[in-house]
Amino acid sequence: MSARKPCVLLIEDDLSLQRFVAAALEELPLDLIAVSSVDEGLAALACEPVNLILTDLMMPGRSGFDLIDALAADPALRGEAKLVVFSAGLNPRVRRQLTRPDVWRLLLKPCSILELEDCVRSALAIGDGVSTTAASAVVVDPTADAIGVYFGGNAALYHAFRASCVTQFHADITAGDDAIATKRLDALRHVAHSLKSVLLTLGHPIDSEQAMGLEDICEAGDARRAAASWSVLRARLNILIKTG
Amino acid sequence: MEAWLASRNAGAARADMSADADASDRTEAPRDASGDAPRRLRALLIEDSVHYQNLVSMLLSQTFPDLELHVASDGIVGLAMYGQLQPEFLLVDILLPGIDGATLISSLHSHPQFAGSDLIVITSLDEAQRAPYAFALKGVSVVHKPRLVMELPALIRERLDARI
Repeated sequence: MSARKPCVLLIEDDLSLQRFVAAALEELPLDLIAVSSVDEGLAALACEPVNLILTDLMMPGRSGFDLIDALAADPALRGEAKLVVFSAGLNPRVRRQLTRPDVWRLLLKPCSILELEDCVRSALAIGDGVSTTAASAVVVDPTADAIGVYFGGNAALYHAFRASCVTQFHADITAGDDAIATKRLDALRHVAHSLKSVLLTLGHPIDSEQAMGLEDICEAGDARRAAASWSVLRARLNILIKTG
Repeated sequence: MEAWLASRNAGAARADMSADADASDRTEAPRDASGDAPRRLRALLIEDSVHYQNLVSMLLSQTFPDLELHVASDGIVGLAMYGQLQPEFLLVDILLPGIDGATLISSLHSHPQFAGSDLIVITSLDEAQRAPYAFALKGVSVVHKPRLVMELPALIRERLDARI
C-alpha cells in the first residue's frame, strides 16, 4: 500500500493558466506536474504514471487531439489516468469529436476555481466533490445561467457587456498592479469592489468571491495577503481576456 | 470652472446604439431652459466604474432609446453636471471618488431644482454594507449592481409613467 498522493499532469502552454490551475488545486492532496507541450507531457508520462491528465487542445506543435491519439496508440503510457480536455474551443463540432470513451470530461474555459476543483476531486475520488459524473463527456459552461439570472434572457446584451468588460480588464489589471506597486490598498480595494459585481454579473461567482475576499483583505490593511489574493484574481482576469 | 469641466472626459451624451425602440418609451418632451424648443428626456449617470458606465449605456440604449444619457465619473463633476443639465433621471453610485454618492445625494436634496429629478442609486454594496449611508438612502430606490439589468428598466418605466 502506497502513501503516494494522486498525481495530475497539466498540459497547458499558457503560463498564466498554469498558475491559475496550480492556485486552484493547491489545497488538494495531490501532486501537480505542469508542462507546456504535448511532447513534454508524453515524456512526463514515460517517467511516471499519473491519475489525471488535464490538457489544453490548441497548443504550439502537437495538439490535444494528437495527445489523445498518442495515448490511444500506447495504452500502457496512459495507464489508469483519466483525461479531461480543458479548452475555450469546445464548439459543437469539437465536442462531437471528443465524445469518446477515453475522454472523461470536457471543461470549458473560462471556468471558476470551484468548477475546476470539483472536476479534479471527482476524477481523483477526493471527498467533497459535488459531481460524480464519470465515463461520459460533460461540458460545464460557467456563464450559461448568467444570461437568465442577471440579464433576463437578453443574450445580446450579455455578450455586448462581456466584450466591453474584457476590454476594460486590461485597465483593471493595470490599476491593480499600480496599487500593489505603490502599496495603496485603498486603490486596490476599489478595483476589487468594482470587479466583485462585474464578475458575478458575468456568471463567475467564485471569482466574484475572490474579489470580495480581496476587498476585505484590503480593508483589513494586510498588504502581504492582498498581494497574494490579487495575483489569483489577476490570473483569472487574464484568462477571461484570453478566452473572451 | 469651465476649464476644469472641459478637462474631464465627462458629460458627452452617449452615441445612440441600435436598439428595439418601443413607441411607448416616448414621453412628452420637456422644454429647454434657454427657450421653448423641446428637448429629449435626460439621465445623468454618476459612476466611476467603466464596466457599469458601459452596461447602463447599453441597457438604456436598448430599452429607452429616446433617453439622453450623460455620464460623470466622479461626484464633483457629477454635481456640476447636474446643475447644467437638470436631468429628469439621476443614477448615482454610492462609492465615488471626489464626493461620495451619499454626500452628493444629501447635497442635492437641499437644491429646489432637485424635486424635478427622479433619483435611483446603483451600488455594489449589499444591504449590510449600505448601513453607514442609510441617512441618504431613506426613501430612495436602490438597485444592487448584479440586478441592474433586471430592475433598472422597470424603475425608469415606472417613473416615466408617473410623469405622463
